[in-house]
Amino acid sequence: MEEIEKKVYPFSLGILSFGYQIILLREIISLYDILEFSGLFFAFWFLWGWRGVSSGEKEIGKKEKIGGYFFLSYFGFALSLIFIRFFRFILKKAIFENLSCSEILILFGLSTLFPAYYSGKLFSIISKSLPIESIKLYKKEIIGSFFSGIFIYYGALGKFSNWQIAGIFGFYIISVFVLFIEKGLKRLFILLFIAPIFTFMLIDEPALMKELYKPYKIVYSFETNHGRYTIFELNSQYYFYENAILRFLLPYNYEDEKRILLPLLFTGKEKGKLLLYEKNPKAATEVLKLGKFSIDYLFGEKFFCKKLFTKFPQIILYLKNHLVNTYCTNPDTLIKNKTGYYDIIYFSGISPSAENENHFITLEFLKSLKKTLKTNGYLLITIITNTNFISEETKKGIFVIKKTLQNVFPNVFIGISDEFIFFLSGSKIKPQKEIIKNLKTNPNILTIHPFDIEKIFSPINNIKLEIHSKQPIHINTFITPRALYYFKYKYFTKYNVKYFFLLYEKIWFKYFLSFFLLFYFFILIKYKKLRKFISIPVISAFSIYSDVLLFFLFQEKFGYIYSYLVLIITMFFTGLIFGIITSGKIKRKTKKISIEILLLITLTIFGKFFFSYKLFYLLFSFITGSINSFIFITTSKTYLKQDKFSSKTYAFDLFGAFLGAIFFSIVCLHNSSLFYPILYLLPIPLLTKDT
Amino acid sequence: MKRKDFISSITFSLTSVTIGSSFLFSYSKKKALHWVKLNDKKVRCTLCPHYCILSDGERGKCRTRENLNGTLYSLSYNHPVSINIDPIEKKPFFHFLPGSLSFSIATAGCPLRCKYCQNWTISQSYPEELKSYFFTPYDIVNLSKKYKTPTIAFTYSEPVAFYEYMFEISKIAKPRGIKPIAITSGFFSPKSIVQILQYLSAVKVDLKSFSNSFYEKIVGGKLKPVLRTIEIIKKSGVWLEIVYLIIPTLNDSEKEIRELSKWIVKNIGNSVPIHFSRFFPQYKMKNLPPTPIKTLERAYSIAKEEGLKFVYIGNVFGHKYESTYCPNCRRVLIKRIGYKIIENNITGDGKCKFCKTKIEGIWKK
Repeated sequence: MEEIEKKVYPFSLGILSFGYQIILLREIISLYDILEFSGLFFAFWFLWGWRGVSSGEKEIGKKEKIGGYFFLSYFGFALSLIFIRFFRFILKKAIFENLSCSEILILFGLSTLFPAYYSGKLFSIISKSLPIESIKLYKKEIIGSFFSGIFIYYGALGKFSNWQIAGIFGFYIISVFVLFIEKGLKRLFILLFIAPIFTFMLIDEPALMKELYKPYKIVYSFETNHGRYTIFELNSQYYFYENAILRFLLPYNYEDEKRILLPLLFTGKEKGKLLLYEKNPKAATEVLKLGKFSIDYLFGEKFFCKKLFTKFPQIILYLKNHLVNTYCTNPDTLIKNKTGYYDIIYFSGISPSAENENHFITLEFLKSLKKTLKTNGYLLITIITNTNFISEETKKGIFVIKKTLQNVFPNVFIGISDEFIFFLSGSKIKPQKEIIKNLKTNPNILTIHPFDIEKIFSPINNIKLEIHSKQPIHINTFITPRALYYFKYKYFTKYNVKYFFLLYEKIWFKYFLSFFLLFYFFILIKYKKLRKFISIPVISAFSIYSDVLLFFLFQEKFGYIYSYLVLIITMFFTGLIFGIITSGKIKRKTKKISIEILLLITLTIFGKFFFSYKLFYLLFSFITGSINSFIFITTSKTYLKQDKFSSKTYAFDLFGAFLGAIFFSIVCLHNSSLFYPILYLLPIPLLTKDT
Repeated sequence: MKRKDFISSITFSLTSVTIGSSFLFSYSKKKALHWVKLNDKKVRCTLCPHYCILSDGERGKCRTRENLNGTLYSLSYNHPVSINIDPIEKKPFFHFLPGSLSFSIATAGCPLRCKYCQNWTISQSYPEELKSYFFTPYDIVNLSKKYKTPTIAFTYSEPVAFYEYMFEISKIAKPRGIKPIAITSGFFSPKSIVQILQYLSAVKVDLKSFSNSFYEKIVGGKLKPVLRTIEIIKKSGVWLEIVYLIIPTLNDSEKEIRELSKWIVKNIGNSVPIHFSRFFPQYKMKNLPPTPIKTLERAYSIAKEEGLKFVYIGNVFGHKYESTYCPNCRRVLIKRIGYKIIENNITGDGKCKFCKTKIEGIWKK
């Protein structure tokens, strides 16, 4: 029996704790649209996990307690899931009202509290009550996490809702205890009372959602790799939501006409090949009011289009024209083998505060875009932001975009209408007087006022764009997306955390970081006793940072992360397992850490050449996972002078992960790229050498 | 250097910096209008219905009025953060110089906390948080002259937050033939609205709801003072238009719209134009969906049933109820699509071209 317990407990802990994290995070993302705070979610998870491990350390380890804690962690998780859904109602918030900063902290803090705390506590209790080496326990737990990830990605996503996956996890616990552990009355109790509760969780989720979203009627809800799509109806108006963001609505109205057509008037072209990106499907046929274009229209991903077109054939009507080819694919794929092909490329209504759309204004993407454009072709980009008032940060963001564009295209003009319009071309844009003259004779365009044309290059715009700051303007690249940073600032303002977010901009903060870095080097080299307290949290912080950064870059490159998030984390766990197994078999020498860290640095430096390959993200996650294990185990062996690590070491690990998640994900993520945190790893090889 | 010299030089430098910076900062302060002195250097601001009592150094809810040593100052004076030239239809004014352009300005600050504010980056900020321009009231009037705009609009944030600036500009502009207009939430105290009305030519009031609980929960204000302001404006003879932004599930009930329409007809008269505007997700309500068009159309029908002559649907470009119809012969007087006027059938003396009915409004510059 004990042999079974030794295997089943840690494995199940891995299965469950990993499953809890992923399901809760996905639930939060799909209901609240706060992906940018996912680092904070992990921070809270690690914080409570750390506290749980520490508290378990103080408790007397008894086998009988384990079952109870398993159920406690699970019920805590189910409670968190319910809490996430009802949080709006607890706060008496309007259905789609955004959360404030403090509310986000409460949401993350409370939703992670019970599952993380009891998972951490279980780790300590299991390690104390069973005669099992902590390192083996850790290994089995991670193997469990790996299988959990594989199950969620390949077995559950798209097939079951988060609520149902939670129900499946519940049945997993029941099976483990009924089949392997519990006997007699306890087994009967579980089967009679607990199993029926879990059956409730297998009920189809939208039924519950419909009640929650009253008076809105959920017409259709489905999941794809990109996330959860929900179509609401209210008073004959249909709203298409991607996760919690409104993508477009039906029926449409005229204001889209003005927004879409205005920049195109300046090209003076009435025919040719046009590549159009716009969220509103009406745009494609709207453009045909100006001339006989052959349009390649980028609409969305494959599964989204397929499901939407089947459910809402009205959308196909908007796209039904022999001149419009609708593409449901990634823009990079569409332009891949096209050279000198398009007369106009038009990215309409870009919001640079979203990672996937910021991709369109990165240096890398623009270079590949230029290849597909004819020599006398035009690139038009409209950026959505409030132009009534242009803040310093928005101005900086606009200048970052301008500078990036100037690196690729010779002529860049910025116009201000109700949004920012960037005109890029090898030739000059059409004079305003001519456009206004044509406008008067074109019966198809009803919404555009001559004033709208004049406003775009009005002299008053120069006053509006006057920049006060003397800070240098950087280029927006894939690895350091500066435009995203400045536009996101505004987004963060509404959460009242703008000062925290802007820390990286402050010169004093840079001095502080440099000073901190030097101080950290000094402490590590001078005080040997402190090394175990510092090196383990540092490597954990780096690991969590690299994972969060990979989520972020993946989203920027491919436009989604919803499902791939699970795979990246699973690969990280696979790396951890690999590291533990290898460390157990090979006698570790501390100097090997130097080689491992050097490998990591090399991979990071050359990583930028491989960001176009999905495999790279998995590989990098795997390598950081295994190196994390190597260093973790080696340093714990070295400093603790024993062949196993204790729960205390695990607690240090979680503490470091907490700091990494909270600090890097908010302050440094958009600025420092992957390279900066590597500096913190540099002294580790040096200090393990002489121990 | 001796310790004594060191301390005295440091003290001297700090004092110079303090005096210097306070001198530099003082340029933006203007002694406020509408406040009373209380004991212990406290003051009570009487500009808006919050009637904030401020101790020395405290700032009002509007974020722009500060008690400094027992005197209330406005910190937004001379410092607009937003300058634009907009079509007057954007405000929206549909019965006031249609087709004209308006020189539009705003400063930081607002006494309200609307969770769906379209211009929250300005309204929910302190003046010192935003980089601003430096334009005196004379500069603003001159710029308006330069760009040949017949009106100067105080808009985007809330003119209450820059009352003194609005007051001075209006005082200078009116004798020069430029009409000052205010786009406001109507959150004024009776005295302050009466004082500014002597210089304003038109006011558009955003009536945010007809329920006090909505004002308290979503807006951070009260309904009654806004209704009182509307009545005062109407009595003063200054041109008035009302906008009611319909937010799905929050202020869109038929009962509320009907009560509102009845109140307008009874207290203001049936010729005040009312715009039922479509809500678009903003600020802290970014995920709330835009108003269904049918909801707006229903509001239009209710207002018409209650006898209002000029009802409009706003923020729905191309909708037929964006246009002005003659209340007598029902023909189109001004056909609009968005801010664009397609057709104008109102005569120079403000009458319907077809049936000669007098149409309320200001039609001539």
